Amino acid sequence: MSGMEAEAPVGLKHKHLLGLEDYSAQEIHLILDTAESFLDVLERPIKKVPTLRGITVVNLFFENSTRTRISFEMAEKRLSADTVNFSASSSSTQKGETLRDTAANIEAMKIDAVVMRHSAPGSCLFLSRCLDSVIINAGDGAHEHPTQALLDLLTLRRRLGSLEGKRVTLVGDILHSRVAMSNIYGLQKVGAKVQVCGPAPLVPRHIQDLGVEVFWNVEEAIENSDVLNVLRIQLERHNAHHFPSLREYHEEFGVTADRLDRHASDELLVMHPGPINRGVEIASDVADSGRSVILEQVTNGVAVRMAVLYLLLGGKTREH
Amino acid sequence: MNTELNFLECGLFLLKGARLLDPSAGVDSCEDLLVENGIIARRGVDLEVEGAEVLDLQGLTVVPGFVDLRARFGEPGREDRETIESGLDAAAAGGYTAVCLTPECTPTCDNAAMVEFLLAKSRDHAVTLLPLGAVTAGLKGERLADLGELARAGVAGYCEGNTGLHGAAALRGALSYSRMFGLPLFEFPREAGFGEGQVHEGLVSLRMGLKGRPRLEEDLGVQRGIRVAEFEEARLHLQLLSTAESVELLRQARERGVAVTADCSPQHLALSDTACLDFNPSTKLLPPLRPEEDRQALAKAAADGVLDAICSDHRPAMFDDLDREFPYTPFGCASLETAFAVAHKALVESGICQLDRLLELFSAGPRRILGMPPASLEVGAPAELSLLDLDCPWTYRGEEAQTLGVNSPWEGQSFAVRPAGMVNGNYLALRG
Repeated sequence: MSGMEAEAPVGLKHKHLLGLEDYSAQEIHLILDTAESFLDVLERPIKKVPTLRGITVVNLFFENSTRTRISFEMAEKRLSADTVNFSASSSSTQKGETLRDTAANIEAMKIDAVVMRHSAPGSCLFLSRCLDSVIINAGDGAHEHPTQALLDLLTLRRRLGSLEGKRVTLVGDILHSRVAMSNIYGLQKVGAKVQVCGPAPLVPRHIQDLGVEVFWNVEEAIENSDVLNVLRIQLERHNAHHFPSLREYHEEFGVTADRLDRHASDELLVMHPGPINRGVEIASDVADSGRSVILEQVTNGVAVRMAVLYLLLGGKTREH
Repeated sequence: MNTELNFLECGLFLLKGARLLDPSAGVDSCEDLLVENGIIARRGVDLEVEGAEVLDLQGLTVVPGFVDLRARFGEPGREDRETIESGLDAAAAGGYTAVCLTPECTPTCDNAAMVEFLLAKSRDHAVTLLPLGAVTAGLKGERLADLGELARAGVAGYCEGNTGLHGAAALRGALSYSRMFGLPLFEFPREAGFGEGQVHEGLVSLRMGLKGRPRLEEDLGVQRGIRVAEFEEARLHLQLLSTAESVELLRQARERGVAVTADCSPQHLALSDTACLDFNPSTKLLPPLRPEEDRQALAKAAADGVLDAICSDHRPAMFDDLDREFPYTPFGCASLETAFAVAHKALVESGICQLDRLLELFSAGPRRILGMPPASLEVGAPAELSLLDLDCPWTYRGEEAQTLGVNSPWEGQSFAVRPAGMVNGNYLALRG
């Protein structure tokens, strides 16, 4: 990374990262290439570069998130940015303050970027219309979660090389997933074939209009996949119309070692955005197996977020 | 562009130089109209009447007055969204002579005192307010409101607001009871239990990450309404149809003689669900904007007579309501002042129907549903007239509008025609 502070980070046409729907393949590759460089930094004894010194980033989390928040915070710290964490439980939102007011108050303290997690789809777009700061979407409802998709792409690219023509199947609750749409956009833009598999009520019917193939049988999906990205079953979002019980879900859709032994190619990789429900959507003997790249995803997450922060904010340090 | 709306109350005024147009009566002429004590007293070329207030309407077209079947104001309860006065001003600017007000004020319009309040508040306005009574007490869907009392207090019909009546038994009970009072029942057709979707369920809801409302929710409501009306052999008016299937169900029902009528909004005639993709809360409507094929089917149904009326479905909201995350913003848009221009663009300028038909959808159609005789330009008829400028390129700007509502999907958009005002009895409103 030597000399990175002086390089102009050309290439991203966007001020914000609100989602991958509007990002080009070139921009996505630029982020991944940059993240590869940051992975090297993470292997050093001193895992910190001064790139964003003087930049202030606020992590505005209106929904619980452990992994994403820590990952962003770590990425910010390793770039030497100043970080402030705000979470809804300790926030003024419970006193009825609007999102605009909350954000505007924080921005008035002179910040450069907001990383936001919010349950409402479109809330990051809304925020970008309220503030001057750079906005990074850390998940807005079931809309987009672009850095998760980017870290998934980085993990696959490092494992498989080119993703051109690779068949990646998202397994589980597609309807409520904050990960699904960003993954579909990202994977398709880099040439992968996206498939989904899950209980029919949790698979939006119109997903096929996006060129996504649908499986209702997990074994058939496994046979036709190079990668399984197993999504978390979010217990709090389900009712009896979606599927009858966790037991039945596991019986019908659980990714188990037995199923993989019988139906998967030897090279098949298993991903999971976490947190995992062992014994529900994924069996322990899969999560902990050699096929699993779950912990690599976590490591890559920090590097991808460093890359995004660097590409969106690196220019600011040179303005002075 | 002078957007000021001037009001006049006068027992004797002369409308000069306008084109008089009432296709249903074969009227299309350039004549003057004398309105005396609220009645059309004379009609002729170059009238001169001593003592009459003379209004030069050169370039305008006078047509039978528009009546709106569905608008919501904020008074009482949410005067910041719309007062009765600002709402009726907006109606006048939209060319309407009368507006049906949904009972969704706070407290609900489910009793005589509230009807009397609304009528008293609107008495001196140029536009006639037609309160609709709630079907159930407090719009809670539990027990019927005192529909007889509401009728005696002067409601124009019954309406359950944006919730609709849940279930065939509830609808049957309401229809069976309300018909005794000779007033129409307005039903917002919707099957309960599909949840609080934000936009149409389809590719757009998927891309936006929002819960969707499937067509099925509406289609089942329309089917239920038709069957209940058929079974009870009573009239039922269905509001705000938006899907191709529901207009097809309606078409079939009409063919077998079921006494069911229906309307739709100009928004649904002009916009499809892709308009929502930018998360603009003014495009968040109930029913939701549907895909293009539904929009086309709806426009065709409006043109060929399957639909009886176009209602504004005016639902004003203020900046603070909209300045929020999309799922937390209210449904609806401010639309009284754009209804005619939008519908004209969607139906007439696009070649789907003629102006004659559009005028029916704004005047004769809604009046028939309310049991009112058609408005007329003949001598002796009550003066209930809309004044239109059919050659008036203009751009909608919320800040220049009469409504307090800032939630218009048409902000900054241009149109070819524009209402210039209205005449209602002794009252006249005229722009400029």
